[in-house]
Amino acid sequence: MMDRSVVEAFLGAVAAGDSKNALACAAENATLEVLPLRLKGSLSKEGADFIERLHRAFPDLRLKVRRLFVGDGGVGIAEANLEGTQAAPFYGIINQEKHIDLDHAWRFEIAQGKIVGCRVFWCQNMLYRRLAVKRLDKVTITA
Amino acid sequence: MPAAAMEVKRIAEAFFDAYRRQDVEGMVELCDDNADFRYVPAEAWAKQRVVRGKGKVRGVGKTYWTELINAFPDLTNRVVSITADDERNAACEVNIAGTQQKDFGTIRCAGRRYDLPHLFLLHVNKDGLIDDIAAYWDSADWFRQLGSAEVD
Repeated sequence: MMDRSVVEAFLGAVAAGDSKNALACAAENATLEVLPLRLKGSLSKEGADFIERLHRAFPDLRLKVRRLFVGDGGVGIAEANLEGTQAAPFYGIINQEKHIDLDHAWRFEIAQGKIVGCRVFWCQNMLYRRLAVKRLDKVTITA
Repeated sequence: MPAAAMEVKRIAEAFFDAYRRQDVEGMVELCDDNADFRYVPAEAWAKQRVVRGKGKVRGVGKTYWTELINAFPDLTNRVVSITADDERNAACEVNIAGTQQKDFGTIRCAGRRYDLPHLFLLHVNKDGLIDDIAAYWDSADWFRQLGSAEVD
């Protein structure tokens, strides 16, 4: 699969909540880092769990890719937007049924047609604002 | 690597060199007069509106960089990686660090230092000038490092 196509297929699977097809785009030992969640591990374990939690928290999730390019060294970049309404806790943030609209970016490393690493960049304060969290030391407290 | 991608990498490196020297005029000179600026996490929620870090390099961008350097006089950066394509896009992983000496926006000065990963996305036009800058980082991490617990 071409590098651009593998990124498109991966993000399409993430958008659909289909971790099996997402992992099919990745090498067995691929890594994942979601910087704002301080989440780091394997795509097959932590990555699959991240996709599952994302869709459980935001069952009407929409992930739109706004810009995608693949540069030298097999590095792919996607700028995307996440939209959805919270229906369950998300990494410690309690559900207040708020709507999110979150611009973010993915950086992929691709080798031999498979994703071998990805890092996700978003601003957690943007997410907190949209989910009505007021303080970083009281993420799970709303009163 | 295609020649266009090599040129884009060279310009991206020059941009972060100028930023490291705190040469805001030098940063702006590497950009087209009408270059777009979009710092995605830079948003402030006021009572009736949201103020975003979006506009032109010569307006919002220049002001933002100047105020950041003013608040963090030892502001520096370390380029981790730059990748570019033949459509003249570049993605730059850059760590930005500095010690706070003045309030910056809603972040009250506690004299603390931060070191934060950023992802910059640049586009360079055929005249060799940056015509689009976007950046992503995690302000929650930034605020925590500087001792601020307020989301806004």
